[in-house]
Amino acid sequence: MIVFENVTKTYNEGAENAFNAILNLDLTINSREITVLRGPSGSGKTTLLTLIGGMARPTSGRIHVAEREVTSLPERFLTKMRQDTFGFVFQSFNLIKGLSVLDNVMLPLTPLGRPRNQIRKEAYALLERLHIQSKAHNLVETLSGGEAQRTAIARALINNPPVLIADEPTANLDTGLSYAFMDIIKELKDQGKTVVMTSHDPLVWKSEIVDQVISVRDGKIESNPT
Amino acid sequence: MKIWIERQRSLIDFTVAGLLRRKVRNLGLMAVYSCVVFILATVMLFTHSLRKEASVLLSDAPEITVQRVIMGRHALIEHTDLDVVSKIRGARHARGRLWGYFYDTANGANYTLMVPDKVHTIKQGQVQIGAGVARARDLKKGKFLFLTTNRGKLFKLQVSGILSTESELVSSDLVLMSEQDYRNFFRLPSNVYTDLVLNVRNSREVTKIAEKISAVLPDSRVITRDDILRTYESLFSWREGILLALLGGALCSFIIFAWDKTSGLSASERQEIGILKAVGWETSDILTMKLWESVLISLGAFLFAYTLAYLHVFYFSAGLLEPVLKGWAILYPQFHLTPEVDPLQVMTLLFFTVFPYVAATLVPIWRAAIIDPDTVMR
Amino acid sequence: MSHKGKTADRFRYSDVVLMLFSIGLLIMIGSFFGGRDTQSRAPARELVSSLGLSDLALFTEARYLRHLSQADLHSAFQDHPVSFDHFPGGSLVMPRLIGITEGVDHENMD
Repeated sequence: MIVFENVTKTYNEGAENAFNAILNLDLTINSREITVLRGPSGSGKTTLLTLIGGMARPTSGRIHVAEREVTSLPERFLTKMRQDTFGFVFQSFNLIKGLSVLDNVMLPLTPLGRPRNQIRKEAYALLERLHIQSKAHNLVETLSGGEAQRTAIARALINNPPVLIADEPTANLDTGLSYAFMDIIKELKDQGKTVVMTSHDPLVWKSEIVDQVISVRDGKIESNPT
Repeated sequence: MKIWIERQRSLIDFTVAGLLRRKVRNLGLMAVYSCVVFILATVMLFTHSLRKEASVLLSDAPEITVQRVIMGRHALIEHTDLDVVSKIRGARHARGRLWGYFYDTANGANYTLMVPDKVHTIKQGQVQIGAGVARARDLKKGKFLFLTTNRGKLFKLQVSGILSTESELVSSDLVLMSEQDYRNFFRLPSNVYTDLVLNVRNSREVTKIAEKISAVLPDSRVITRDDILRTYESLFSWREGILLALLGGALCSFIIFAWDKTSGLSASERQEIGILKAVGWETSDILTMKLWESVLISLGAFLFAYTLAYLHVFYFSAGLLEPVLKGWAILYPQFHLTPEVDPLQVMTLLFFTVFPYVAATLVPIWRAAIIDPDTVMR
Repeated sequence: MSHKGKTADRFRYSDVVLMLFSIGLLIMIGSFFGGRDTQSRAPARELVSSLGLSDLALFTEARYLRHLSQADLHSAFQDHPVSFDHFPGGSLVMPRLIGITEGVDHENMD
């Protein structure tokens, strides 16, 4: 369970162009559920996602992850928490060009010093699960949008994290691939994972597998979304 | 420990894959780097081993040489002086030497004509020649060497032997002939020598005996073996210094270039660091990875270039330096230097080539590595 | 890049790199111990002692370069003991400073 208490995130704090991306926000995300953050661009939902995933710290307020207060953790613990708890799928996938699909998937485990063959096996198994094992040795720049996303998902899952975080996952996909993505998400939910996504795609937030939709506008949660 | 090793190996895997992505840039960098190190290492190895060679070979040079000096110039010394020197207490085996410099108008080369000691007695009409002379005149054993005296008279000498190529560093241009031939060739009277050499009974008394010789022969100059060794100890040292200073300048500009290249991290490199942080890499992981990157480039280039320089100097006779050393000389000895390396020199070169590069690359990376990972989301 | 290896790399970059580095380092360290071969110098040493040679035959273009240690103090460097020489070889070697700064011969020369 992830709980936000009165969280504010201000960019360029103290400067003239300071603005509050998130303002005094309370939020609860339940474990083993799918939560969608929806809202127009610039509403602060991506910022919210970075706060949930421990990639940025709030300016004020507190965030609890699994009943642990994380806002005051030193950087090293935050990194450790990101490694153990969250898997990220970025909107632009953020794969590292020039590396193969397999190498990209293995990336999060690379600095941990585990035997490489073991990591390879796990990465390969994930690629099989996502049906792109045939592309394992291709360079990522040769992939189609759907394949790139599966690679990004495989990379997010290689740590076997309890929480998967995805930023606009269907923005670069056509309808068929978007449905395929939702199937993957459903499968993950069935395995007991928590999923947090941002999306303004109705195909996502209207889906029946989604447990909670939170509408964000101007850094606040809208109580009565249309 | 096992984890640590595996971690480093994985980071190296990643680093190499990354380096291969920018193949042209990185190989170019390594090539420039290797070039600089190669030249520096070649000069260092060559001069050091040549100096070493000189000090070993010439440790058997005559202990004391006595030259007669007239008007500041080396002149022939008379037999009576030999008698004077022989009588000095502590002097042993004093003998007159006959050697001289000869310009061969046939090919523009210079030879050293010399009369050997009793050990290498050579019959009248015969010569033993150094390998360099044999090459220059295309001679074999049994063939004839024709030399023209300064009065235009032709001398016909049969080659009775060619000095071994292993000794070429000291014997390349030698033409050894009998005393009679030598005196006839240069039209020398029978009572003069080029100079005198002698040994000393007690080697600690060399200075003392040299002083005594100076006292009894005031018109002479005394050269001790230590003087000879000191001359060769300083061989090249000034030019090596100038050369190294110049190359040091080249190295500096290379480091500035490297600094310039790396301190302005490209957008894609920044992006990559952001991604790595976002997928859970710590700042220290990124720094370690980048440390490997610069070590692989700089140490790799160093080891590669050093190996090449070593082979070049000791197995290919420093062929690239030959035009410099040869100058205007027609005769140039073909010699193999005995491998002789000063570890301190090499370690100094290693330090000054690897360390600045690693430092120059790590600082900007460190600045980039402490950014917040959420920058890749914006 | 391997296209077939399913769970194991055909080779790892790190293995190749570490192996090359080990070889390079071994060559470097090995080179520090290379100077034990005294056999190859034997013929030259024999000549030096039997003929009483005093110089290396490295430069042959002028007498004072060929017989560096025997040269007149000023013959090579007519104008000044450290002025540049017009023979290329003369610009590489040091003029003999022995006798100018120290040594037994100079005191008794004038």
